[in-house]
Amino acid sequence: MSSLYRSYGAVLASLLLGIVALWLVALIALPQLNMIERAFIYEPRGGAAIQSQVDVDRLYQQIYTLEYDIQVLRQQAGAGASVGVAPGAKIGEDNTAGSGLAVPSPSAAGTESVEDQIATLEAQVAGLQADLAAMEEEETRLMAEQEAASGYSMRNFTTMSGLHLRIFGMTLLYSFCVTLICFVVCYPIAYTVAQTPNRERAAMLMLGLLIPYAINELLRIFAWTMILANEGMLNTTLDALGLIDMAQGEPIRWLASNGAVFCVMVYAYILFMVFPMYNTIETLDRNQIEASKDLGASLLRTHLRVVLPYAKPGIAVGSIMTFMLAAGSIAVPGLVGPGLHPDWFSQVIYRNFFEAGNWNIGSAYSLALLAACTGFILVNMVVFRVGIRDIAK
Amino acid sequence: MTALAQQGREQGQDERRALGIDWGDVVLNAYIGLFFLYLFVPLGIMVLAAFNANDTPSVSDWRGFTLQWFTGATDEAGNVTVRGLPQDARFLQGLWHSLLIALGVIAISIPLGLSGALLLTRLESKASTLLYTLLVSPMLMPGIVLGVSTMIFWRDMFGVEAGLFTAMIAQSVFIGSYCMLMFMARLQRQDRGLEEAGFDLGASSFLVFQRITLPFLMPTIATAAVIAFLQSIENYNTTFFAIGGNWTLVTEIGARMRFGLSPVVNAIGVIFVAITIVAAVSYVLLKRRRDQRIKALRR
Amino acid sequence: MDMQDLRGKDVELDGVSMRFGDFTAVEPTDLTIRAGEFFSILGPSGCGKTTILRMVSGFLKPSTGRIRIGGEDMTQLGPNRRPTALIFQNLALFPLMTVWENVAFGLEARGMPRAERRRRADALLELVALTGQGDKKPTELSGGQRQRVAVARGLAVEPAVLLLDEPLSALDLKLRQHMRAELKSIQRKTGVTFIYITHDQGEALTMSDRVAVMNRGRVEQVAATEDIYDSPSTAFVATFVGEQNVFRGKVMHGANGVARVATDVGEFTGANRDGLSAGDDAMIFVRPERLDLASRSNETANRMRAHVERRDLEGPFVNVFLRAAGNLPLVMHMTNSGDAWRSLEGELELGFRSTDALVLRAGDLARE
Repeated sequence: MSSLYRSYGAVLASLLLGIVALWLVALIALPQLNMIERAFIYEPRGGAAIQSQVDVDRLYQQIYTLEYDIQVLRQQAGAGASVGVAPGAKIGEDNTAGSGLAVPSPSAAGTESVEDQIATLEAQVAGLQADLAAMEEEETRLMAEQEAASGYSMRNFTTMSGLHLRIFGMTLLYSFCVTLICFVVCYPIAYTVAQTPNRERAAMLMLGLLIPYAINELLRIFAWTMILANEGMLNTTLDALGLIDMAQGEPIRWLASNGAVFCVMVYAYILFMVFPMYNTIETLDRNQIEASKDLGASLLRTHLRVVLPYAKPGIAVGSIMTFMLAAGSIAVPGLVGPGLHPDWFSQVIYRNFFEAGNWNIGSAYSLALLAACTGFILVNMVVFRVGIRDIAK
Repeated sequence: MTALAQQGREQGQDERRALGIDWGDVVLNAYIGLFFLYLFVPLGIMVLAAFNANDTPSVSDWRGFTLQWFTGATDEAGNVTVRGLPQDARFLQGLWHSLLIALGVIAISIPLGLSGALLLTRLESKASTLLYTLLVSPMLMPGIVLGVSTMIFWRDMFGVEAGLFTAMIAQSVFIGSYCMLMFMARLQRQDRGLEEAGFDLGASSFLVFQRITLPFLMPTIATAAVIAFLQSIENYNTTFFAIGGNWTLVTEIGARMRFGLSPVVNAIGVIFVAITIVAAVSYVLLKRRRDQRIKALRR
Repeated sequence: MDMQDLRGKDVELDGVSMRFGDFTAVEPTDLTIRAGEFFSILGPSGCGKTTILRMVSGFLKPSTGRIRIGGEDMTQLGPNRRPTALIFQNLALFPLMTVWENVAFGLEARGMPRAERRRRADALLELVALTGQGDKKPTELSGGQRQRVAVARGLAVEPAVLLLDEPLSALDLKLRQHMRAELKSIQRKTGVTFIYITHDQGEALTMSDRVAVMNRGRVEQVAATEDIYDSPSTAFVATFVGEQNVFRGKVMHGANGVARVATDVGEFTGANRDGLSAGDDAMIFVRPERLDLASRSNETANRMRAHVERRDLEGPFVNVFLRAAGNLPLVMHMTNSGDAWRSLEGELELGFRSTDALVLRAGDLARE
């Protein structure tokens, strides 16, 4: 810290500290903490407590209406037949009196019948109030239950449905496979580009990797969607080869499968594996490879013992990037045959936020995803024996 | 590259020419060829389909060459008969939003990254690794987590609804980390002796920063701004979650793709591809010319 | 490992050449390196010496010719199938393996069990005076120790020929001199054929049994170390190995192994090694230590005048730099036998014995 002030002076050092503190607290830590907090607050929706609350409210409304009617009738009775207001309209369905009451006529309706009506209504009110007492008791019980449930709890996680849990698992599994395939496909590429002795050729290969890498993810996905669409390249090619008959039967619905998502994902994220590996292998001294050959090692052994161990940090970075992108991808599953294939976990998160409007469960699922990715990073760091500074370069 | 490695490279280059057919090489070359086909064929199809008059993007069902998806078409009365790019207000609006966000991201993430880098390179304590981990963590987080957390946070705390602003903030958080790593790489190559010489000559720490450190970082600031701009324009995941009902060029492309394929998207794709290729090729050419100049100077 | 098991083999190059496109790196060359000798290939950078080494080790396939090791044709075999081991200029130790794993890597490649590998590695580390260092990483060792690890790693595969590509160039002077002795002793102990590539004549002369001097893709001379210095066969060898005073001129007459040559500085007589005759372009080479004050030489045939420019005291001897007629630079080494050298000033009369001067056909000189 003193070195900081010595280098930059008090004003500048304070400014730097301030900016970094702002970044760290307001942009990184607080939003995450806020999300985490929401993830642990259970927010019941359409539950029994709310229902009973609604029922109790309705009951109060009924009693209020009845009492109002009784009051009106009493006034009528007191003022004789001179009052022409028809209260019955407000009483509603429970009225047992004849049609005279519905459209009361001062001449037909006697004082005695009014008294009867009042008595009936009061009996009803009493009945309802008894109900109300029971229901209020029920409501208090349910509310207390809910009170106990909200606050901090794991319920957002524990109430995750079996379906969502399976989607979560499948997403992680698929992402891991995407990562694995990307590694297997990319290793020879990264090795060749990095160790190509001819500089011109290396530059051309590099350009060939950079161009698709720089083109937007969505456009890369779009290109594949065109190929896999029902009327797309793949089906028309198969049709032309006579393997399927599009005029006759159904074309193959490639987009409707998890396989399509998988395929496009490999395509979309493969270059995030190539570049980190390239960067490490590029610094490997060619003599190391030659020394290994000279000492009699086979090609396989040279790679297993010399090149791969050296490339570890690059492999770790590539794997982390690829896995993270795949597991958190909304673009690929959302855009490749949307709705046709089983969901990706990111889509579940999306729906919780923007369709179900349940932000707390959405937060909980986001947190689960974040935890899975963090776990993957940690496992990578242990397996490949690399530190955080090797990863983020 | 060290002189030795370079020598090795040139030596290897000569050797390859000298050796006869090596079947391992043939297989490897075939593999690399296939890989590049895999990379480029889909893009080629996308580009080609942008010029097909067919209104579902396709190359197999060719209905004649057209530029209508780029220009649109009108009949004599001036009514739009084909909606091309210029008639598409949402795309143009989205492009404008993208540019606004990108400029905002540059303005935020460069100071963040610069401060973080300057701080971390001078911080000689155990806290530095922790701070470093925290500051790069946004890069290692799934984009959707970043988007979601920013969106909720700004609404919960300040009542700011998701939109261009939250999208800009969410992007800046992780783009700032990228910028920081670039600045740190540059600062690690700085000769501390220069600063010390400045102090030794009686300069104030501010003057040293202004006249020595900042000019040294200037090229990286330019590069970081370009990278930040590109990252921002390209970003989908984070933006998609943080932008709410608003849209950028890229989220609009995504929205269109959900509702079926349109050749207008291909037209945008062609423009993207063209810009990328021109930029990449000119970068390589410039770099080569610079390398040659350096090589010539060394001789 | 029992070092007696190791037997060096001879290496024959039969019309071997190497072309890279239009560029000829090595002209067709015949060369025989005897079993168990310490053989150096000496030459300036780019002379083709490394190319020869890489052809022998199998990383390069020669454009023409055959390479035989111990009588067996190796031309078509890859580096992993030849009885050779290469010590790289930068050593190329595997940084992620321990020292003993480095040493035993070749044995691992041959499928030897781990315990056996470890035992052999330890024996080899003992041979190169690194006992007990096996579990360290190469980066934890000093430059000289790493050097010895590389040698041990090469020897572990029991090669018939050990190829060394300027392995000492990264070391400082003191260590380099120490390692020369050490390499020589390892070579003696093991009896393996060593082929040593270097541009440093000191290394070549101190360690080798025989030396080949190369220039521009051609082997100019192959000879025992002392002959390389005392009787170089070309102008290039004469000037590349050690210092020389060079006089250009035309042969006046040559007979009976002696030639008289007219130069800008004067007429001189020397040994006519190339059998030149009157009218040929020639060069006369005189070592600085053979040049002397005329007053101390009783031979009158080779005399010249030169002007003293500078005297540098090296300790045991003094370098006197002079200029003769036509601005020709000369160097004279004088033993520091007292005050004599302090009085050397102005114009001097110099001379040398005819037997100390070598007359060769005019040709390339080595550039400093």
